[in-house]
Amino acid sequence: MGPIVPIFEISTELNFLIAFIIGIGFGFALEQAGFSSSRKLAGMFYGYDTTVLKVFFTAAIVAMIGLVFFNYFELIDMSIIYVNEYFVNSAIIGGVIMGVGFIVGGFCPGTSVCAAAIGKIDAMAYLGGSLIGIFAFGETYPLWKDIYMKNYLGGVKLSTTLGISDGLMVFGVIAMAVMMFWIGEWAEKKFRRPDITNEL
Amino acid sequence: MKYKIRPLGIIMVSIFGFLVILTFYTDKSQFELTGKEMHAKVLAANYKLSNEDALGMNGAKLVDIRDSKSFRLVPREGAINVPLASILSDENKAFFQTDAPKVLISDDAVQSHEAWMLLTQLGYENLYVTEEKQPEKPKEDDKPKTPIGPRKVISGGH
Amino acid sequence: MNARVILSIIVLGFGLTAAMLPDRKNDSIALNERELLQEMLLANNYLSVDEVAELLIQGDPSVQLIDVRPASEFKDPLPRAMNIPIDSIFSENYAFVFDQSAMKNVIYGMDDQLATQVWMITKQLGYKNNYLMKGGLNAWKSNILDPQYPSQTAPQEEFDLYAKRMASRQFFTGAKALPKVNIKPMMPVQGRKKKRVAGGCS
Repeated sequence: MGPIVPIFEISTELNFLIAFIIGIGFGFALEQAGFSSSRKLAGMFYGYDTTVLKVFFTAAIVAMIGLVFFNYFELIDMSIIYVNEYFVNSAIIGGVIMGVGFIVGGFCPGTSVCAAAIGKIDAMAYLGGSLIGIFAFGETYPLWKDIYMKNYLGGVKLSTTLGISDGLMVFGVIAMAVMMFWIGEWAEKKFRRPDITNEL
Repeated sequence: MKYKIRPLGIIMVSIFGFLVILTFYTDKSQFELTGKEMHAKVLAANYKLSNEDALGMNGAKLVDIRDSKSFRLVPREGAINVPLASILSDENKAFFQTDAPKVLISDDAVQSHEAWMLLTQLGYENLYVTEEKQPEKPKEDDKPKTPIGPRKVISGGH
Repeated sequence: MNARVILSIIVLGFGLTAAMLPDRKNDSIALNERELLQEMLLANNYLSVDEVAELLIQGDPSVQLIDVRPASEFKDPLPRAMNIPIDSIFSENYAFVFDQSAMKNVIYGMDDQLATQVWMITKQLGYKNNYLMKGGLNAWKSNILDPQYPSQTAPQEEFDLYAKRMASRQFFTGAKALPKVNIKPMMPVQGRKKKRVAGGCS
């Protein structure tokens, strides 16, 4: 038994529909986790609120455990799962730009859409800014192409690069996540700020 | 706080059990060898025999994999008929599990090689293929079948 | 606080189990033995030499002929055939040739053995669009390049097939023969009388 819906037997339209439904779920989860508040997001950097870390690590852990066990029980085929391609230069430069934008604007691209959807004006401004950025990048793409495409490594997995099994990698990430949870809890106490829930 | 953990635990365990049950009933592959292992095996194996070798092998069984109809029309002496379509039935699998060397034969060389590949990938050993036709096959058999009456002839200069 | 401890332990337990699970490679597109047997019995997966000849004559650009003979024995291939010896079908250069969905691969060898092996391996791995030419080059040579005139008592279909094969033969071998025919009338030998055509009804 392979993927429940084989890739060859699904039309593009249905594919988009499934993506749409998953997208709604994603946005809902983001909003529920409080990611539409830029104070909560920025709290990660100052240590008074580690929700971001907890949510993202939880998502990663659930997905990882699910994939490993589904693979073991032959419900999913790991070999045909798309692994995002790795361009070293783009990842580093993009990561820096994204980090600066994150702390300055108070949103990451996904959460800005989420916050704009519930009517936050700063999020709309942020969204407009990122759209202008995308447009500018698209128009000047030939200038960046060389840097953008440099050091292409393909769809590599961390476990294969380190030479360990997927299961061991999962365990390592989980151990790290649990450790980060406790550190986060500790940090939240240490850098506690007055409760802002009512102001939001 | 314990209340919140318990339903979560129950859900987790039941999902786990569901997976185990689900995978138990899926149509799993019985192949012992993967495609790459089969490739290596094929490169190393030499399983094609000539007719004399096949007949001279000790305790070898001839397995004719043509369908039963053509086997009845032109039977091959000393051969057991195992039609290709039913080669995976339980009794035939039990037969292929026995130790005696088995020589696959067919009118169609493609089919006997295919049957060899399939059974070898399933992990059965001692299989061979011979492509040669039945020895001392009476040639007279063929002739009466074709009608002898006058025929339209296309050839010739007229 | 207690719930967090329990949650951490559960998650770590899952992680430990995941770490201890044996590595398993699933191949969801690979066929199991029953599916493979069905494919083996399906006539659509095979092409006769006559069908291949027809495809070649039509010039179908999506047809890709793959000759699986060892490189040392690779000579006189079918037109436009590429040589992928059976020992290198998984090598980096050639793996993509079998696992694709754009072209129709027609696999052939000298006889049926090597081609069947390659076809079975690719079929079992779940690759699509691979076809097997029955009989291989031997059948090609005896049926297309040198068709036997059917016996006088053969049914009409055999004569039709023979006529078709002769036409194919002219297509596949005619390129060499044609110039000779063309040259003759261009340089008539002077001073020698033309011989009368013997035979026939003139």
